[in-house]
Order: sequence, then structure tokens, then C-alpha cells
Amino acid sequence: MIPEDFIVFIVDDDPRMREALSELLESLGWRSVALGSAGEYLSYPRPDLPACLILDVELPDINGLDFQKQISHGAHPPIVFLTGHGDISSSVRAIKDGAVDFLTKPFTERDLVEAIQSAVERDRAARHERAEIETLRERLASLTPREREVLPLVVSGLLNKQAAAELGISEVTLQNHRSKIMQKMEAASLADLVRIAEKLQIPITHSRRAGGI
Amino acid sequence: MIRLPREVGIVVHQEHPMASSGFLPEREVDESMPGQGWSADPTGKFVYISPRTLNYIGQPAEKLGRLEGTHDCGWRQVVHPDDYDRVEARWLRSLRAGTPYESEHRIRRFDGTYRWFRDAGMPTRDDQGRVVGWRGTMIDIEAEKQAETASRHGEVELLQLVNTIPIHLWRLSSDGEPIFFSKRMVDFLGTDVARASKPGMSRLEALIRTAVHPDDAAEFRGVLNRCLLTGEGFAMRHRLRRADGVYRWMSSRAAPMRHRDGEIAQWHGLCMDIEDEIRTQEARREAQDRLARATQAASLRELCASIAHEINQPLAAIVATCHACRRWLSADPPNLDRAKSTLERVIRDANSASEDVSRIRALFSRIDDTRSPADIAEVIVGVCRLMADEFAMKNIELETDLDQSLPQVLIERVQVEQVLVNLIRNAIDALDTIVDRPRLIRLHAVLDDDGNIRVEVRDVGPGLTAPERIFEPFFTTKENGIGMGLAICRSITESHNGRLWAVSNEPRGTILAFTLPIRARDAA
Repeated sequence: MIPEDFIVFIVDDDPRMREALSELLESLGWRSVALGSAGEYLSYPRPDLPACLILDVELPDINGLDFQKQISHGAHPPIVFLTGHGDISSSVRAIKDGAVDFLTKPFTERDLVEAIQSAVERDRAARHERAEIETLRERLASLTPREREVLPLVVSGLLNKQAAAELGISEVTLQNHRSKIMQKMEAASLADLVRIAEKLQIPITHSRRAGGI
Repeated sequence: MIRLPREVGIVVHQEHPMASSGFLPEREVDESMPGQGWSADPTGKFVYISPRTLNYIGQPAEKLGRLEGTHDCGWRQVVHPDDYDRVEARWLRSLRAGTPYESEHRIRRFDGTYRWFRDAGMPTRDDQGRVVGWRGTMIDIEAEKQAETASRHGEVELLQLVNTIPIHLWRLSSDGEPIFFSKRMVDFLGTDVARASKPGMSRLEALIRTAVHPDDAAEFRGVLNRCLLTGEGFAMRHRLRRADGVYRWMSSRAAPMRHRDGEIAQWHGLCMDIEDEIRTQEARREAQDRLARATQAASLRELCASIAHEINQPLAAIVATCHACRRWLSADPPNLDRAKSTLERVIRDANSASEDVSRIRALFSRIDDTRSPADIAEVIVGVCRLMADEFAMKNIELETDLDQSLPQVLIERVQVEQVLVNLIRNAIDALDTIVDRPRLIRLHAVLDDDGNIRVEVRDVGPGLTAPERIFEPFFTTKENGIGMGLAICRSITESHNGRLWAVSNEPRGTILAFTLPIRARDAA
């Protein structure tokens, strides 16, 4: 099951639907917040938890599918759509744009539970990814300017000698910078450092051969 | 050698033995007769030529004699060059065989103009049967010829007319046998009237079987036979088979030509190709029907969608709440309080769904807000105009008896029109199989004793076996019907506080009648 705490946001303009969904989620032992419109959802302070957004397609202030597009750039939880009449084209559109599921009312408990679980799982993974990158960014920020010059050369695969020549410093000095970088970035090996650099999208500026000539 | 006393214009061949063999002098006979006489000897030499002839041609008789030793008759110069060879050949043949001679040819007058003459001669024989001479007469037939030419000209023109006007013409004998097809008709059918026959049946029947579309044949036969019997004009639209096997819609008409005593001599008929017209009309009507269906379907679909949404919303809430309730009950220990409160919500939501339904009903009962006063006679006339094509297509005779002084009535015009169209279409369909009598539909609009306007649609079709059942939804006797027409009509009339019912027409057929109260009763 779900090891951590999480929260389900319900956005539906029908109060009966909101109540029913809250009740059902509560009976499952899950936390939920029910809101009547897209605007209410946006202004609601979201806790720092894995989450899922259950979104009615026919919202009073905006079409659910358009709202999905609008929030796709921010760090919003994965969406499970609810609709009164499922038509294939809008469900395809929703799924293509990243929705977890598209449920037609009335839906079964099982479909809803499965959709929420997979949405929360997906959000947990995304949050994990976001957190990791945040940590790596902090480590990157702790490097000195010189170390930040050395890092791309090292992860490009240049030999110490080549990298030192590139920067016009001695091989020993470069060696020192390199071990400091490994330490600060908490990289276990060069391979680990390359993976970290990739996540931080540090460009590979040199190929090993280029410096040799 | 000929001596010609010019003053009397007589040619006498005195040396010829004929004179002494009892051949009578012609002069007295000739001048007392109409026409212009002549006589000749057995060799064809003129013995006598009427002075009237000589005056006419303005030439001396000696110039007309047959030249010695030749076949030239001498009158070559006065006979029209186009006619001469023919006349000469005929004359020489008669001379040789001793058979009567007759010819019509043009002869030049003294002033150079030609006139037509009929010239006839007979041999005169002696006791032994030998030809002793010839006597003949010429009669001026110019006037006759001109009249003949004029009439032939007229005939040619008429034939040209018959063959070039873009319709097919035909003629039937008084008992209905085809006796003439115009050239266009022959070209269309690919058969001549003479070849239209088939063994074992009349020519008309053969024609109906081979040329009239099988779906139209029974009606065609029925209508035409009725016309042949009664002498009424024939008019019908039907499909006719072209030589290449393609059927085309025709508008056929025929009228009897009568003798003086009134008896029918022949039938003259025409077929006009109206295929293109029919196609256009059909296309237009199909487009209209499609549009009407689409409009209805679209508004119906929207209506259904919104009703479905209204009902679905509380149902979805109820289902979700029930799932929650089950969860509370199956928890360990069961949470009865929560289960109870969720059940309360189920009850509440179910009631609210039921209220939604009532709300929708109420929405529809407010429909008479759009009713407006209308003149029912005018509405009926409008509908008939809309359906004129259908009447024509199905050979429907329409009679209307509409009380023009009827008061106005508050109706949803489109709905009442829909009722009328439905009832009239029903009547048209009922008449579909009728071929032995006019396909008559009568429309009545009257004020009844209860102060209602009563509209009746009467047909003379086969009648109904179950008058009440026809109003049941999905009841239909038609292959293509879904059986909703009359059920809808009844609900429309009832929403107008009227009634719709069916009774049998006398002596046959059906009456569908509906009422519309003049004063709308207060909504209950």
C-alpha cells in the first residue's frame, strides 16, 4: 500500500458529488480536500505531500481539459478526470496530456481507488525526482568558480593532463580540484559524477580527443 | 403529211383509212364536252386536237404532230421537260399494247406558264378488235394539284412537328389498342407500334408489361382501363422503360377524340419525360427531410444530453456514497454512525434526483408560452401547399371543405402542422393500393357543438381493422414506419387540450379527426 501520507484534491461544482467523494475517501482512510472550482483549487495552500487531483471535466469557471493544459507547467499533482458523459476524443486528449485516468460517472470504487493510487505513486516519483535535483543543485552551488570550470572538463572524459592543459594549470592542482568536487557533490565514483552532471544538465563541452592535439 | 386548217384548229389526217372505217368526226363531240378532246390514228399521229388546246398552248397544230420515223411525239415542246420522258414512255406503251393511256403532267401555256393536266385516252376498235384509232381528253387539274401539294406540305409539317417536339405521341383505338407511336416514342421504346404485340395478349397489355415499370404497371392498367370505360381523360405519372433498359419518369396524358355522335373514335395521348424534374424534386425533398430530421435529432440529442446530465449527477453521488457506506460497514469494528449518516445522504440525493425529474417535467409543461392565435383554415391550406408535390406524385385528388368563418385558435403552429402532415401522409399511404377508384382525400374544418374546432382527414382507402391500436407507440402497418407518428400526434393534440381519434369512413376508408378547443382551458 501507500507508505507515506498523501492528499487527494477534489474539484467538482456539484456539492453532492464533493460530499460523496470526500466521504468515500474518508472511509478509505485517505485525506482529501474538496473544492468547487478551478479558482478555489489554485488559491488553496497545498501541503508538501504527494497528491492527486480529481477534476470534473465540466467545471463552472473553466473546462477541465483546458485547466489541465494551464497547470501543466507547474508542479501540480497528476489528474484523474471525472465526467458525466465520456466521449472518446476528450478522454484521449486528456490522457495524451498526462492525465492518469478518465472516469465516467457513476464510477466504481475500484476504478477510483486504482486511479488515485497510481496518480499518487506517479506524484511521489516526480516529487522524489524534484527533491533529488534540488539537493544536487545545492551541492553544485557549493563549488568554487574554479571547481565549476573543472567539472565539465572532467565529466567530458578528459584526462587530467588534458584538462590541466585546457585550463593552463598543473596536473596536481587539477587533481586537487577534482577530489574536492567529488567530495562536495557526494559522488562515489567518476561514473556517479557523470550521472549527477547529466541530471543537472551540465553541458559536455569537450571531447577527450579535442584537447589532445 | 398533215394538213391543218388553222382557223378551226383541227388536225385531220385525211389519207388515213380510219376516215373511211366509220371513225366518227370528233369536232361536234369535243366541243360539247368538258375538257379538251383529241384523237389519234393507231400509230399515234394526232387526227384531231381541240381548238381550246391549241388556244391554250398558242401553237399551230402542225407543230404538234408526231414526226415521221421517230418516236418523238412532237408535243415535246409543250410538255414540261421533267414530265416528258415519263409521258412519252407511257403513251408509247399504250400504243404498242392497245391499253388505255393515262397521265398527269404539266403543259406549257402560250405565256410560258405550266399547268397540270390529266390526260386519258382509249383505243377504238373495229369488229375484229383491231385498234382503229385513239380518243382522249385532257382536263385542267391545276387547282386540284395545288390543293394536293398544299395538303401534302401541311402533312409533312405536321409530321415534322410530331417528330420534333420533345414529347412522345401515341394513339389508341377506341378499345385501347395502340395504333400509332410518334418517331420519338419509337426511338425511346426501341420498338414500333406494330412490333409491340406479343402472342396471347392484347397489344396494350404487351406494351404495359414490357415498357411500364413493374411498380407502376398495375396502377397504369387500372387508371387507363377506367378511362377507356368512362371516357375520362387519362393522366398519370409513371416510369417508362427506355430501349436501353433505363426507366424514366413520364407524365402521360390522353384524351378521347369523338365522332359526331359522341362515340369515341380514338385516344390521343402524349408522354412527357419528367425524369429530371422528378430527380430535382426528390433531391429537394430529401434535403428538406434530412434537415428536418437533423434539426429534430439535434435538439432531441441536446435535450437528452442535458436531461441525462441532470439525472446522472445525483446518481453518481449516490453510487459513490453507497461505496463509502459499504466501507464503513465492513470496517473492523463497523462504523455504524458513519454508515447511517452516509445512508441519510443517499436518501437525500435520491430525493433530489427525483426533484430534478419533476423540474424537467415542469420545464416542458411551460411549452404553451409560445402558442399564438392562428387561423386553422389557413394552416391547413399552408400544409396542403407544402404537400402539393406529394399529392401530384401519388395521383391524389384533394377536396377541402374549410369553414372560413372559424374563430382563431391558440396553437403551437409548428406542432399542429406536424399533426396535419402526419394525418395526411397517413391518408396518402392508405390510398397507395387503390387503383379502381379516385384516390380521394377530403379535409374538413368545422366548429362542433362543444365549441371546438374539429379537423377531419378522410380517405377512401381500405380502412382500419384496429382503430384504437394505431395510436399506440410503435404500432405500424408500414414497412418503413417506426410507428411513432400517430402516437406523437395524439400527444400533441392532447397538449392542446384537444383529442385525436379514428373512425371508419362510409362507405369505405378512414376518418382521422382531431379537435382544438377555441378557448384554452386554464392550466390544471
